[in-house]
Amino acid sequence: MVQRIGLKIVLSLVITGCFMRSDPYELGNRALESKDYAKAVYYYRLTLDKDPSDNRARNNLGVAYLRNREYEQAFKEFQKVIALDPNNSKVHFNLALVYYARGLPEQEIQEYQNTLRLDPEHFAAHLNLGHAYLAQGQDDLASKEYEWILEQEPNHTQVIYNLAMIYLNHKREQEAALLLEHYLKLDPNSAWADKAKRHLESLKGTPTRNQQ
Amino acid sequence: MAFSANKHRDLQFFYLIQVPKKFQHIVPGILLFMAFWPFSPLIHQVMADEIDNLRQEIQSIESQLKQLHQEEMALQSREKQLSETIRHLKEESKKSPSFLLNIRIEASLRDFRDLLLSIKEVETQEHELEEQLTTKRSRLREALSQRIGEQVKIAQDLYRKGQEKEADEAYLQGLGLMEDYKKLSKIEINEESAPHLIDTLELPPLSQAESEQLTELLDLLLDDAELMAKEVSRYTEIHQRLLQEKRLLDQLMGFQGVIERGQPSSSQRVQEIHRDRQDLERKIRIISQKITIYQEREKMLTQRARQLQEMAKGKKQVISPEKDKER
Repeated sequence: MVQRIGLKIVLSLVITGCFMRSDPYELGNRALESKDYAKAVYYYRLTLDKDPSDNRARNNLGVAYLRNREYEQAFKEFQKVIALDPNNSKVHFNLALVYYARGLPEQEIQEYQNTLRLDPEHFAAHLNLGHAYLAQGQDDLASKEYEWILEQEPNHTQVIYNLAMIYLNHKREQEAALLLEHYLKLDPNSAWADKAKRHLESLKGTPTRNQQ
Repeated sequence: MAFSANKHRDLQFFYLIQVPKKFQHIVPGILLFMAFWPFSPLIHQVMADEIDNLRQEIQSIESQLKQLHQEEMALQSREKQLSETIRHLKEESKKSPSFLLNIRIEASLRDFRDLLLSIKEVETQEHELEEQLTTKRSRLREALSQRIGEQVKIAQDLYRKGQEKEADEAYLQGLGLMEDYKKLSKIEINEESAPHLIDTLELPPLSQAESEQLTELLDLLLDDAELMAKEVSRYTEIHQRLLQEKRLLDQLMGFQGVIERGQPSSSQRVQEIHRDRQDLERKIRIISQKITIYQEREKMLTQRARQLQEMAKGKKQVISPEKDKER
Protein backbone atom coordinates (compact mmCIF):
# COMPACT_ATOMS: atom_id res chain seq x y z
CA MET A 1 0.00 0.00 0.00
CA VAL A 2 2.74 2.43 1.05
CA GLN A 3 4.76 1.37 -1.98
CA ARG A 4 1.80 2.11 -4.26
CA ILE A 5 1.33 5.58 -2.79
CA GLY A 6 5.06 6.24 -3.14
CA LEU A 7 4.98 5.08 -6.73
CA LYS A 8 1.99 7.33 -7.46
CA ILE A 9 3.78 10.35 -5.96
CA VAL A 10 6.93 9.67 -7.97
CA LEU A 11 4.90 9.20 -11.14
CA SER A 12 2.92 12.37 -10.64
CA LEU A 13 6.13 14.31 -9.99
CA VAL A 14 7.68 12.94 -13.17
CA ILE A 15 4.55 13.75 -15.19
CA THR A 16 4.34 17.27 -13.73
CA GLY A 17 8.06 17.73 -14.37
CA CYS A 18 7.66 16.65 -17.98
CA PHE A 19 4.67 18.92 -18.40
CA MET A 20 6.49 21.85 -16.80
CA ARG A 21 9.48 21.23 -18.99
CA SER A 22 7.42 21.35 -22.14
CA ASP A 23 5.23 24.27 -21.08
CA PRO A 24 6.80 27.23 -22.86
CA TYR A 25 5.15 29.73 -20.51
CA GLU A 26 6.81 28.15 -17.45
CA LEU A 27 10.09 27.90 -19.34
CA GLY A 28 9.75 31.58 -20.18
CA ASN A 29 9.20 32.39 -16.51
CA ARG A 30 12.29 30.44 -15.55
CA ALA A 31 14.36 32.17 -18.19
CA LEU A 32 13.05 35.53 -16.97
CA GLU A 33 14.02 34.69 -13.40
CA SER A 34 17.51 33.66 -14.47
CA LYS A 35 17.78 36.92 -16.49
CA ASP A 36 18.09 35.10 -19.79
CA TYR A 37 15.83 37.55 -21.55
CA ALA A 38 16.39 36.33 -25.11
CA LYS A 39 15.33 32.84 -24.05
CA ALA A 40 12.36 34.24 -22.14
CA VAL A 41 11.24 36.15 -25.22
CA TYR A 42 11.56 32.95 -27.28
CA TYR A 43 9.35 30.92 -24.91
CA TYR A 44 6.74 33.59 -24.42
CA ARG A 45 6.53 33.99 -28.18
CA LEU A 46 5.99 30.24 -28.46
CA THR A 47 3.18 30.49 -25.92
CA LEU A 48 1.59 33.35 -27.83
CA ASP A 49 1.84 31.49 -31.13
CA LYS A 50 -0.47 28.89 -29.59
CA ASP A 51 -2.78 31.42 -27.97
CA PRO A 52 -2.33 35.07 -28.98
CA SER A 53 -4.86 36.15 -26.36
CA ASP A 54 -2.77 34.82 -23.44
CA ASN A 55 -2.31 38.11 -21.60
CA ARG A 56 -0.11 36.63 -18.87
CA ALA A 57 2.44 35.53 -21.45
CA ARG A 58 2.18 38.82 -23.31
CA ASN A 59 2.70 40.84 -20.15
CA ASN A 60 5.74 38.75 -19.25
CA LEU A 61 7.03 39.09 -22.80
CA GLY A 62 6.80 42.84 -22.28
CA VAL A 63 8.68 42.50 -18.98
CA ALA A 64 11.44 40.50 -20.71
CA TYR A 65 11.76 43.22 -23.34
CA LEU A 66 11.71 45.92 -20.68
CA ARG A 67 14.48 44.27 -18.67
CA ASN A 68 16.47 43.77 -21.85
CA ARG A 69 16.02 47.50 -22.57
CA GLU A 70 14.04 46.86 -25.74
CA TYR A 71 11.60 49.56 -24.85
CA GLU A 72 9.72 49.86 -28.14
CA GLN A 73 8.95 46.13 -28.07
CA ALA A 74 7.93 46.31 -24.43
CA PHE A 75 5.70 49.29 -25.17
CA LYS A 76 3.88 47.40 -27.94
CA GLU A 77 3.31 44.29 -25.84
CA PHE A 78 2.00 46.18 -22.81
CA GLN A 79 -0.31 48.22 -25.00
CA LYS A 80 -1.68 45.03 -26.53
CA VAL A 81 -2.45 43.63 -23.10
CA ILE A 82 -4.23 46.88 -22.24
CA ALA A 83 -6.20 46.67 -25.51
CA LEU A 84 -7.70 43.37 -24.35
CA ASP A 85 -7.65 43.97 -20.61
CA PRO A 86 -7.78 47.70 -19.86
CA ASN A 87 -8.32 47.13 -16.14
CA ASN A 88 -5.09 45.25 -15.59
CA SER A 89 -3.27 47.43 -13.05
CA LYS A 90 0.03 45.57 -13.35
CA VAL A 91 0.32 46.29 -17.07
CA HIS A 92 -0.35 49.97 -16.52
CA PHE A 93 2.46 49.95 -13.97
CA ASN A 94 4.80 48.18 -16.40
CA LEU A 95 3.90 50.66 -19.11
CA ALA A 96 4.79 53.48 -16.72
CA LEU A 97 8.26 51.93 -16.41
CA VAL A 98 8.63 51.97 -20.20
CA TYR A 99 7.70 55.63 -20.25
CA TYR A 100 10.22 56.31 -17.51
CA ALA A 101 12.93 54.53 -19.48
CA ARG A 102 12.06 56.60 -22.56
CA GLY A 103 12.12 59.82 -20.54
CA LEU A 104 8.39 60.57 -20.91
CA PRO A 105 7.46 61.81 -17.42
CA GLU A 106 3.94 63.03 -18.19
CA GLN A 107 2.89 59.66 -19.60
CA GLU A 108 4.73 57.87 -16.81
CA ILE A 109 2.80 59.75 -14.13
CA GLN A 110 -0.46 59.15 -15.95
CA GLU A 111 0.16 55.39 -15.99
CA TYR A 112 0.99 55.29 -12.27
CA GLN A 113 -2.25 57.16 -11.69
CA ASN A 114 -4.08 54.60 -13.85
CA THR A 115 -2.49 51.81 -11.83
CA LEU A 116 -3.65 53.36 -8.57
CA ARG A 117 -7.14 53.99 -9.92
CA LEU A 118 -7.42 50.26 -10.56
CA ASP A 119 -5.48 49.15 -7.50
CA PRO A 120 -5.27 51.86 -4.82
CA GLU A 121 -2.97 49.73 -2.69
CA HIS A 122 -0.31 49.21 -5.38
CA PHE A 123 2.77 49.88 -3.26
CA ALA A 124 5.34 50.25 -6.03
CA ALA A 125 3.05 52.60 -7.95
CA HIS A 126 2.77 54.89 -4.90
CA LEU A 127 6.53 54.78 -4.46
CA ASN A 128 7.38 55.46 -8.09
CA LEU A 129 4.69 58.10 -8.37
CA GLY A 130 6.30 59.84 -5.41
CA HIS A 131 9.67 59.66 -7.16
CA ALA A 132 8.18 60.88 -10.45
CA TYR A 133 6.48 63.85 -8.80
CA LEU A 134 9.71 64.71 -7.07
CA ALA A 135 11.58 64.65 -10.37
CA GLN A 136 9.00 67.09 -11.75
CA GLY A 137 9.47 69.42 -8.80
CA GLN A 138 5.98 68.65 -7.46
CA ASP A 139 7.14 68.21 -3.88
CA ASP A 140 3.68 68.43 -2.31
CA LEU A 141 2.31 65.58 -4.39
CA ALA A 142 5.49 63.57 -3.81
CA SER A 143 5.11 64.06 -0.04
CA LYS A 144 1.58 62.66 -0.14
CA GLU A 145 2.74 59.50 -1.90
CA TYR A 146 5.70 59.08 0.47
CA GLU A 147 3.48 59.64 3.49
CA TRP A 148 1.16 56.88 2.23
CA ILE A 149 4.17 54.57 1.93
CA LEU A 150 5.26 55.32 5.50
CA GLU A 151 1.78 54.57 6.77
CA GLN A 152 2.12 51.09 5.26
CA GLU A 153 5.78 50.61 5.93
CA PRO A 154 7.13 52.94 8.63
CA ASN A 155 10.71 51.73 8.23
CA HIS A 156 11.07 52.30 4.49
CA THR A 157 14.50 53.94 4.61
CA GLN A 158 14.46 55.36 1.07
CA VAL A 159 11.17 57.14 1.67
CA ILE A 160 12.13 58.33 5.16
CA TYR A 161 15.25 59.93 3.74
CA ASN A 162 13.47 61.52 0.77
CA LEU A 163 10.65 62.86 2.89
CA ALA A 164 13.19 64.33 5.31
CA MET A 165 14.85 66.10 2.37
CA ILE A 166 11.52 67.46 1.15
CA TYR A 167 10.68 68.74 4.64
CA LEU A 168 14.14 70.26 4.83
CA ASN A 169 13.64 72.09 1.53
CA HIS A 170 10.32 73.39 2.77
CA LYS A 171 11.71 74.59 6.11
CA ARG A 172 9.82 71.98 8.13
CA GLU A 173 12.96 71.50 10.12
CA GLN A 174 11.66 69.71 13.21
CA GLU A 175 9.90 67.04 11.17
CA ALA A 176 12.97 66.69 8.97
CA ALA A 177 15.20 66.22 12.04
CA LEU A 178 12.91 63.55 13.49
CA LEU A 179 12.86 61.66 10.22
CA LEU A 180 16.63 61.88 9.85
CA GLU A 181 17.13 60.55 13.37
CA HIS A 182 14.77 57.68 12.60
CA TYR A 183 16.63 57.07 9.33
CA LEU A 184 19.99 56.89 11.08
CA LYS A 185 18.68 54.27 13.49
CA LEU A 186 17.64 52.10 10.55
CA ASP A 187 20.61 52.76 8.27
CA PRO A 188 23.56 54.01 10.33
CA ASN A 189 26.46 53.01 8.08
CA SER A 190 25.73 53.73 4.41
CA ALA A 191 26.95 56.63 2.30
CA TRP A 192 23.45 58.10 2.58
CA ALA A 193 23.78 57.88 6.37
CA ASP A 194 26.78 60.21 6.18
CA LYS A 195 24.71 62.70 4.28
CA ALA A 196 21.85 62.30 6.76
CA LYS A 197 24.27 62.97 9.64
CA ARG A 198 25.54 66.13 7.97
CA HIS A 199 21.99 67.39 7.42
CA LEU A 200 21.10 66.61 11.00
CA GLU A 201 24.21 68.38 12.27
CA SER A 202 23.39 71.48 10.28
CA LEU A 203 19.81 71.35 11.55
CA LYS A 204 20.87 71.14 15.15
CA GLY A 205 23.72 73.56 14.70
CA THR A 206 26.25 71.29 16.40
CA PRO A 207 28.00 68.12 15.27
CA THR A 208 26.13 64.93 16.17
CA ARG A 209 29.30 63.42 17.64
CA ASN A 210 29.55 66.22 20.23
CA GLN A 211 25.98 65.68 21.27
CA GLN A 212 26.62 62.02 21.80
CA MET B 1 -37.22 84.78 -26.49
CA ALA B 2 -40.65 83.18 -26.27
CA PHE B 3 -40.07 81.42 -29.51
CA SER B 4 -36.78 79.88 -28.37
CA ALA B 5 -38.34 78.77 -25.07
CA ASN B 6 -41.08 76.98 -26.97
CA LYS B 7 -38.55 75.43 -29.20
CA HIS B 8 -36.66 74.19 -26.19
CA ARG B 9 -39.83 72.68 -24.73
CA ASP B 10 -40.55 70.95 -28.06
CA LEU B 11 -37.12 69.45 -27.94
CA GLN B 12 -37.66 68.16 -24.42
CA PHE B 13 -40.99 66.67 -25.47
CA PHE B 14 -39.25 64.86 -28.29
CA TYR B 15 -36.86 63.32 -25.76
CA LEU B 16 -39.65 62.35 -23.41
CA ILE B 17 -41.42 60.24 -25.96
CA GLN B 18 -38.23 58.64 -27.25
CA VAL B 19 -35.97 58.05 -24.27
CA PRO B 20 -36.49 57.19 -20.60
CA LYS B 21 -35.93 60.23 -18.41
CA LYS B 22 -32.81 58.99 -16.67
CA PHE B 23 -31.00 58.54 -20.02
CA GLN B 24 -32.06 61.85 -21.49
CA HIS B 25 -28.86 63.64 -20.56
CA ILE B 26 -26.73 61.31 -22.64
CA VAL B 27 -28.85 61.59 -25.79
CA PRO B 28 -27.09 64.66 -27.22
CA GLY B 29 -23.73 62.96 -26.71
CA ILE B 30 -24.90 59.78 -28.46
CA LEU B 31 -26.42 61.77 -31.31
CA LEU B 32 -23.20 63.74 -31.73
CA PHE B 33 -21.14 60.56 -31.66
CA MET B 34 -23.43 58.95 -34.26
CA ALA B 35 -23.23 62.02 -36.43
CA PHE B 36 -19.44 62.22 -36.36
CA TRP B 37 -18.52 58.56 -36.07
CA PRO B 38 -18.57 57.89 -39.84
CA PHE B 39 -16.20 60.84 -40.24
CA SER B 40 -13.71 59.78 -37.57
CA PRO B 41 -11.05 58.60 -40.09
CA LEU B 42 -11.48 61.99 -41.75
CA ILE B 43 -10.97 63.74 -38.38
CA HIS B 44 -7.77 61.73 -37.81
CA GLN B 45 -6.56 62.72 -41.26
CA VAL B 46 -7.29 66.38 -40.56
CA MET B 47 -5.33 66.15 -37.29
CA ALA B 48 -2.40 64.45 -39.02
CA ASP B 49 -2.43 67.14 -41.72
CA GLU B 50 -2.45 69.86 -39.07
CA ILE B 51 0.59 68.31 -37.38
CA ASP B 52 2.43 68.01 -40.70
CA ASN B 53 1.58 71.59 -41.61
CA LEU B 54 2.73 72.91 -38.25
CA ARG B 55 5.97 70.96 -38.51
CA GLN B 56 6.62 72.41 -41.96
CA GLU B 57 5.82 75.91 -40.78
CA ILE B 58 8.18 75.54 -37.81
CA GLN B 59 10.93 74.27 -40.07
CA SER B 60 10.41 77.18 -42.42
CA ILE B 61 10.49 79.75 -39.58
CA GLU B 62 13.64 78.18 -38.20
CA SER B 63 15.40 78.40 -41.54
CA GLN B 64 14.21 82.02 -42.00
CA LEU B 65 15.58 82.84 -38.56
CA LYS B 66 18.92 81.31 -39.42
CA GLN B 67 19.08 83.36 -42.59
CA LEU B 68 18.12 86.56 -40.76
CA HIS B 69 20.74 85.93 -38.13
CA GLN B 70 23.42 85.63 -40.81
CA GLU B 71 22.12 88.81 -42.41
CA GLU B 72 22.27 90.60 -39.07
CA MET B 73 25.84 89.50 -38.49
CA ALA B 74 26.83 90.77 -41.94
CA LEU B 75 25.11 94.11 -41.30
CA GLN B 76 26.80 94.44 -37.95
CA SER B 77 30.16 93.79 -39.45
CA ARG B 78 29.42 96.51 -42.06
CA GLU B 79 28.35 98.79 -39.19
CA LYS B 80 31.69 98.29 -37.55
CA GLN B 81 33.61 99.06 -40.74
CA LEU B 82 31.57 102.16 -41.50
CA SER B 83 31.97 103.40 -37.98
CA GLU B 84 35.73 103.07 -38.29
CA THR B 85 35.63 104.99 -41.57
CA ILE B 86 33.62 107.82 -40.02
CA ARG B 87 35.96 108.03 -37.06
CA HIS B 88 38.95 108.15 -39.41
CA LEU B 89 37.36 110.84 -41.59
CA LYS B 90 36.53 112.94 -38.54
CA GLU B 91 40.09 112.76 -37.30
CA GLU B 92 41.37 113.81 -40.72
CA SER B 93 38.84 116.60 -40.86
CA LYS B 94 40.09 117.92 -37.52
CA LYS B 95 43.67 117.95 -38.74
CA SER B 96 42.98 119.49 -42.13
CA PRO B 97 39.33 120.49 -42.66
CA SER B 98 38.09 120.47 -46.23
CA PHE B 99 34.81 120.73 -48.06
CA LEU B 100 35.34 117.36 -49.70
CA LEU B 101 35.98 115.65 -46.36
CA ASN B 102 32.79 117.17 -44.93
CA ILE B 103 30.82 115.82 -47.87
CA ARG B 104 32.33 112.37 -47.35
CA ILE B 105 31.53 112.47 -43.64
CA GLU B 106 27.97 113.53 -44.39
CA ALA B 107 27.54 110.70 -46.92
CA SER B 108 29.02 108.13 -44.56
CA LEU B 109 26.69 109.26 -41.79
CA ARG B 110 23.72 108.84 -44.10
CA ASP B 111 24.93 105.34 -44.97
CA PHE B 112 25.34 104.66 -41.29
CA ARG B 113 21.81 105.75 -40.54
CA ASP B 114 20.46 103.55 -43.34
CA LEU B 115 22.48 100.68 -41.98
CA LEU B 116 21.03 101.16 -38.53
CA LEU B 117 17.57 101.13 -40.04
CA SER B 118 18.32 97.87 -41.81
CA ILE B 119 19.68 96.28 -38.62
CA LYS B 120 16.62 97.38 -36.73
CA GLU B 121 14.37 95.94 -39.41
CA VAL B 122 16.17 92.60 -39.26
CA GLU B 123 15.97 92.58 -35.46
CA THR B 124 12.26 93.35 -35.58
CA GLN B 125 11.69 90.54 -38.08
CA GLU B 126 13.71 88.17 -35.89
CA HIS B 127 11.68 89.12 -32.85
CA GLU B 128 8.41 88.57 -34.72
CA LEU B 129 9.58 85.22 -36.04
CA GLU B 130 10.70 84.09 -32.57
CA GLU B 131 7.22 84.93 -31.29
CA GLN B 132 5.62 83.05 -34.18
CA LEU B 133 7.87 80.08 -33.46
CA THR B 134 6.79 79.98 -29.81
CA THR B 135 3.12 80.08 -30.82
CA LYS B 136 3.53 77.38 -33.48
CA ARG B 137 5.45 75.14 -31.11
CA SER B 138 2.78 75.44 -28.49
CA ARG B 139 0.07 74.68 -31.09
CA LEU B 140 2.03 71.66 -32.29
CA ARG B 141 2.33 70.47 -28.71
CA GLU B 142 -1.42 70.69 -28.26
CA ALA B 143 -2.09 68.93 -31.57
CA LEU B 144 0.39 66.18 -30.70
CA SER B 145 -1.09 65.70 -27.26
CA GLN B 146 -4.52 65.16 -28.84
CA ARG B 147 -3.13 62.96 -31.59
CA ILE B 148 -1.21 60.67 -29.19
CA GLY B 149 -4.40 59.48 -27.50
CA GLU B 150 -6.10 58.98 -30.88
CA GLN B 151 -3.11 57.08 -32.26
CA VAL B 152 -3.05 54.62 -29.36
CA LYS B 153 -6.81 54.06 -29.78
CA ILE B 154 -6.32 53.36 -33.49
CA ALA B 155 -3.57 50.86 -32.68
CA GLN B 156 -5.72 49.16 -30.06
CA ASP B 157 -8.65 48.86 -32.48
CA LEU B 158 -6.37 47.35 -35.10
CA TYR B 159 -5.02 44.88 -32.59
CA ARG B 160 -8.51 43.90 -31.44
CA LYS B 161 -9.47 43.29 -35.07
CA GLY B 162 -6.50 40.91 -35.38
CA GLN B 163 -4.41 43.23 -37.56
CA GLU B 164 -1.32 42.86 -35.40
CA LYS B 165 1.26 44.04 -37.91
CA GLU B 166 -0.66 47.24 -38.62
CA ALA B 167 -1.25 47.67 -34.87
CA ASP B 168 2.50 47.38 -34.22
CA GLU B 169 3.18 50.17 -36.69
CA ALA B 170 0.45 52.33 -35.19
CA TYR B 171 1.78 51.77 -31.65
CA LEU B 172 5.27 52.80 -32.69
CA GLN B 173 3.89 55.89 -34.39
CA GLY B 174 2.16 56.70 -31.11
CA LEU B 175 5.41 56.33 -29.20
CA GLY B 176 7.16 58.51 -31.78
CA LEU B 177 4.53 61.21 -31.29
CA MET B 178 5.06 61.05 -27.52
CA GLU B 179 8.77 61.60 -28.05
CA ASP B 180 8.13 64.51 -30.41
CA TYR B 181 5.91 65.99 -27.72
CA LYS B 182 8.69 65.60 -25.19
CA LYS B 183 11.20 67.31 -27.49
CA LEU B 184 8.81 70.22 -27.87
CA SER B 185 8.52 70.49 -24.09
CA LYS B 186 12.25 71.12 -23.85
CA ILE B 187 13.36 74.72 -23.73
CA GLU B 188 14.75 75.51 -27.15
CA ILE B 189 17.04 78.44 -27.55
CA ASN B 190 18.62 80.06 -30.54
CA GLU B 191 22.08 78.53 -30.36
CA GLU B 192 23.64 81.24 -32.52
CA SER B 193 25.70 83.61 -30.46
CA ALA B 194 24.20 87.00 -29.77
CA PRO B 195 25.15 89.84 -32.10
CA HIS B 196 28.31 91.48 -30.83
CA LEU B 197 28.02 94.76 -29.08
CA ILE B 198 29.41 97.68 -31.03
CA ASP B 199 29.56 100.91 -29.14
CA THR B 200 29.98 102.99 -32.24
CA LEU B 201 26.70 104.69 -32.58
CA GLU B 202 27.84 108.02 -33.96
CA LEU B 203 25.58 111.01 -33.90
CA PRO B 204 25.66 113.54 -36.69
CA PRO B 205 27.13 116.94 -35.79
CA LEU B 206 24.39 119.29 -34.61
CA SER B 207 25.24 122.00 -37.09
CA GLN B 208 24.71 119.66 -40.03
CA ALA B 209 21.72 117.77 -38.73
CA GLU B 210 18.30 118.81 -39.85
CA SER B 211 15.50 118.53 -37.31
CA GLU B 212 13.72 115.90 -39.44
CA GLN B 213 16.86 113.75 -39.45
CA LEU B 214 17.19 114.11 -35.71
CA THR B 215 13.61 113.08 -35.06
CA GLU B 216 14.00 110.09 -37.36
CA LEU B 217 17.17 108.99 -35.62
CA LEU B 218 15.63 109.52 -32.19
CA ASP B 219 12.64 107.35 -33.09
CA LEU B 220 14.97 104.71 -34.43
CA LEU B 221 17.04 104.64 -31.27
CA LEU B 222 14.02 104.51 -28.97
CA ASP B 223 12.36 101.75 -30.99
CA ASP B 224 15.56 99.76 -30.99
CA ALA B 225 15.99 100.23 -27.25
CA GLU B 226 12.44 99.04 -26.70
CA LEU B 227 13.09 95.97 -28.82
CA MET B 228 16.22 95.22 -26.83
CA ALA B 229 14.25 95.56 -23.59
CA LYS B 230 11.73 93.03 -24.92
CA GLU B 231 14.54 90.65 -25.83
CA VAL B 232 16.06 91.04 -22.37
CA SER B 233 12.78 90.21 -20.68
CA ARG B 234 12.16 87.22 -22.99
CA TYR B 235 15.64 85.84 -22.37
CA THR B 236 15.41 86.50 -18.65
CA GLU B 237 12.28 84.36 -18.53
CA ILE B 238 14.01 81.55 -20.45
CA HIS B 239 17.02 81.91 -18.15
CA GLN B 240 14.79 81.45 -15.10
CA ARG B 241 13.19 78.34 -16.57
CA LEU B 242 16.58 76.85 -17.41
CA LEU B 243 17.87 77.53 -13.90
CA GLN B 244 14.76 75.91 -12.45
CA GLU B 245 15.29 72.79 -14.61
CA LYS B 246 18.92 72.60 -13.57
CA ARG B 247 17.97 72.98 -9.93
CA LEU B 248 15.57 70.07 -10.30
CA LEU B 249 18.23 67.87 -11.88
CA ASP B 250 20.72 68.75 -9.17
CA GLN B 251 18.10 67.98 -6.57
CA LEU B 252 17.45 64.52 -8.04
CA MET B 253 20.92 63.38 -7.09
CA GLY B 254 20.19 64.20 -3.47
CA PHE B 255 17.25 61.79 -3.21
CA GLN B 256 17.20 58.02 -2.94
CA GLY B 257 15.73 55.77 -5.61
CA VAL B 258 14.40 58.57 -7.79
CA ILE B 259 16.77 58.03 -10.66
CA GLU B 260 16.70 54.24 -10.65
CA ARG B 261 12.97 53.79 -10.14
CA GLY B 262 11.94 50.41 -11.48
CA GLN B 263 15.04 49.93 -13.57
CA PRO B 264 17.61 47.20 -13.07
CA SER B 265 20.47 49.60 -13.68
CA SER B 266 20.52 53.32 -13.12
CA SER B 267 23.86 54.05 -14.77
CA GLN B 268 22.24 54.85 -18.10
CA ARG B 269 19.82 57.29 -16.50
CA VAL B 270 22.62 58.87 -14.48
CA GLN B 271 24.52 59.44 -17.72
CA GLU B 272 21.43 60.92 -19.35
CA ILE B 273 20.90 63.24 -16.42
CA HIS B 274 24.54 64.26 -16.58
CA ARG B 275 24.15 65.03 -20.30
CA ASP B 276 20.93 66.97 -19.70
CA ARG B 277 22.67 68.94 -16.99
CA GLN B 278 25.58 69.82 -19.28
CA ASP B 279 23.14 70.83 -21.99
CA LEU B 280 21.29 73.07 -19.55
CA GLU B 281 24.54 74.64 -18.36
CA ARG B 282 25.53 75.40 -21.96
CA LYS B 283 22.13 76.95 -22.66
CA ILE B 284 22.29 78.99 -19.46
CA ARG B 285 25.72 80.30 -20.52
CA ILE B 286 24.48 81.33 -23.97
CA ILE B 287 21.37 82.99 -22.58
CA SER B 288 23.30 84.86 -19.88
CA GLN B 289 25.63 86.17 -22.56
CA LYS B 290 22.71 87.30 -24.69
CA ILE B 291 21.04 89.01 -21.75
CA THR B 292 24.22 90.94 -20.97
CA ILE B 293 24.72 91.99 -24.57
CA TYR B 294 21.11 93.05 -25.08
CA GLN B 295 21.10 94.91 -21.76
CA GLU B 296 24.25 96.79 -22.75
CA ARG B 297 22.81 97.56 -26.15
CA GLU B 298 19.59 98.82 -24.65
CA LYS B 299 21.53 101.01 -22.23
CA MET B 300 23.67 102.41 -24.99
CA LEU B 301 20.71 103.12 -27.27
CA THR B 302 18.80 104.86 -24.49
CA GLN B 303 21.83 106.94 -23.64
CA ARG B 304 22.26 108.02 -27.25
CA ALA B 305 18.56 108.79 -27.55
CA ARG B 306 18.83 111.04 -24.50
CA GLN B 307 21.83 112.84 -26.02
CA LEU B 308 19.90 113.29 -29.20
CA GLN B 309 16.94 114.74 -27.35
CA GLU B 310 19.26 117.24 -25.68
CA MET B 311 20.71 118.08 -29.07
CA ALA B 312 17.28 118.63 -30.54
CA LYS B 313 16.42 121.02 -27.74
CA GLY B 314 19.69 122.83 -28.50
CA LYS B 315 20.62 122.72 -24.84
CA LYS B 316 23.82 120.81 -25.25
CA GLN B 317 26.68 120.45 -27.67
CA VAL B 318 27.28 117.20 -29.53
CA ILE B 319 29.14 114.89 -27.19
CA SER B 320 30.43 111.53 -28.18
CA PRO B 321 31.09 109.07 -25.30
CA GLU B 322 34.85 109.27 -25.84
CA LYS B 323 34.74 113.04 -25.46
CA ASP B 324 32.61 112.63 -22.38
CA LYS B 325 35.35 110.56 -20.80
CA GLU B 326 38.00 113.12 -21.78
CA ARG B 327 36.13 115.82 -19.91
